[in-house]
Amino acid sequence: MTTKRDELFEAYCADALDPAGRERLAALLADDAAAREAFAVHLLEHAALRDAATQIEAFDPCGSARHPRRQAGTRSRATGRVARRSRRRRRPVALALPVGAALVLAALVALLVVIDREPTAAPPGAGPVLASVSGAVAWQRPGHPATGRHLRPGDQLRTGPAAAVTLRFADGTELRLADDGELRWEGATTGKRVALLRGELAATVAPQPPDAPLVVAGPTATATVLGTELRCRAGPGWSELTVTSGRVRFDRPGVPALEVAAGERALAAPGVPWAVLSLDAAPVITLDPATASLEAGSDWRQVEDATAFSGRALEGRPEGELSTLVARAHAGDAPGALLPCFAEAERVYELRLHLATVPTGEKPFRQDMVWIDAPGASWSATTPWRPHGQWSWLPPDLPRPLPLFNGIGSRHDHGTWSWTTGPADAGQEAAIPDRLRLRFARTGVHQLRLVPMEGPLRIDRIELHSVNDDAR
Amino acid sequence: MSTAPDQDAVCREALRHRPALIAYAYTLLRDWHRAEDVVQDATVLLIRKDECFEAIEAVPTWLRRTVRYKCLEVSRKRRRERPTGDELLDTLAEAAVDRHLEAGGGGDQALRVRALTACIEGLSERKRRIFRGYYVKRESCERIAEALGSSANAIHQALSRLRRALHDCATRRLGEERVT
Repeated sequence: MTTKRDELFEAYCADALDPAGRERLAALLADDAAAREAFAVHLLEHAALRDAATQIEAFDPCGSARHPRRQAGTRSRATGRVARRSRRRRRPVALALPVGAALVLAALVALLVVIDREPTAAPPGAGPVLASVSGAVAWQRPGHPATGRHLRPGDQLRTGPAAAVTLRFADGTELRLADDGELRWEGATTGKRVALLRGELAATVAPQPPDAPLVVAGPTATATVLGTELRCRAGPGWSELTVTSGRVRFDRPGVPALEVAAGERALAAPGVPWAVLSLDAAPVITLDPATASLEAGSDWRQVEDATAFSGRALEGRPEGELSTLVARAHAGDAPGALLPCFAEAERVYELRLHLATVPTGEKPFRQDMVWIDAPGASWSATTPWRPHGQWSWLPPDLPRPLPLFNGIGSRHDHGTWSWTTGPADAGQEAAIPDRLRLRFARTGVHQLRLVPMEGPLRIDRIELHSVNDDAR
Repeated sequence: MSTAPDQDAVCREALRHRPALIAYAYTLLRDWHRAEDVVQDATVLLIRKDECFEAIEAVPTWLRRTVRYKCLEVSRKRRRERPTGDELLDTLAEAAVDRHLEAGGGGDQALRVRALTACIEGLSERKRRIFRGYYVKRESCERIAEALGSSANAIHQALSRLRRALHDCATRRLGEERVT
């Protein structure tokens, strides 16, 4: 019974119901609430399968899948009748055309009905044309985004690994989206507007009218272009602009816009100073404790601190045995503070913590410690970690080097592992004698996770300094 | 106080509901290509929309209303193409899907599509051939049967089993994602 019902539903999805079938289905939907629900679920599943099919078609490495609209004359499963609509040409996006022009266009469209693909000539006011498509490129429309097709506002293009797509405008402007990227064409109402959602976009822009510039909107900033060559990179939470020739305005909400000239770049990302940088400059990434999110049960709290970088600091008061805390942190089971931080894959960074002990008057000698976890990063072999005698209680299978940071220590009369001097409760800022280096596997915004191990201590800020020059 | 969603969030929300909206449009147009066009046009309208949404939850309702309006517009233009006597079925089909979506039955269709895509990739060669034939190349069962040296009825049954298997696989995958 269910099979028959499903067959009826599927024939409806294929628009292949004969009059008797339509009558049976109408009766079923009128009388049976469960059938109505099953019908809706079936229809949604069919639509989802079509969408999944489209995605697979777009990424088909063999490229054997044909555009559905080129499959004219295929026969319906149940009736055998020819699917006469399959050659229908897609209607261009609604455009504000005069009525006369619209009629002429309609006549042209009628002449083009027999052509099984969209015309390569740009309809008036059309978006950019796909000048070249290489590798696995997909869009949200059914079918493959083939060379020669025009984009409509809202069209979203996605490039897979080793893929690329070039958009060309009528004025010669070209945008090239590199692999693993995603962009959305947002239309040309007042200038050309493209949203770069992730990946890298290179642009060669013909001179644009002053009141109608090309706008490339990244996730965190917007580049306004009047004619130049540039490159934009973007990902969740960051945008970067590099200008090869000309000048580009780079806008970010809430701060003055930057004018980026040839040979310069700018980054809108957590921790990166909002400033024009030279191409080879590696800005110091500053992590602000005020932007930290604290995990439930964390031993951190955010406190007002007039001397801190942003007026707020992270204060950690860990409780419990150090060995237990280390084991928990190593197992990923110790709640901490998460700090967003931008980093580039091609750089090696030196991590510098600016922290201080919080005076308690209880301990004559102490060292304050922080566990640092940076998913997606590899640590250098020069962490301040020094496994001297008293650390032998640590589990032997812990990786070396440990992401455990000797934040600030006090003078130790018998050992060599402490590196700051002075009374422990003096509340001094740490100087770091050893270099703690790390490298991230990908460019983008990462989360640094800090867990206090011994304290109490305060973190004012954390900096990532690129050390590529002496690291290479 | 909740803040108004930005344009990216609105676009993402529209994409989440795309297959459900296409299914809804299909009940009004009985043509998947036209249904896709209408949903695309409604999404463009949404992107160009000047006024802000107070909450992201308002987006699917706005889209459904717009899709309905646009479908009726398309239907009016092509009335002559459609066989008469279908109004009752159209009304019942639309109401069934509308009620389902109203009750939140659409869920996150983008996630479901992703799960289905992963499931399809795990199919055997023969099943993939049948799936590709029917859903990607839009071939008839007869044509697929001919290519595979089988009968149309066998392909018909295989498709039915395939749909069930993909449904179960996607549901299981989504369940596992929720657990992890």
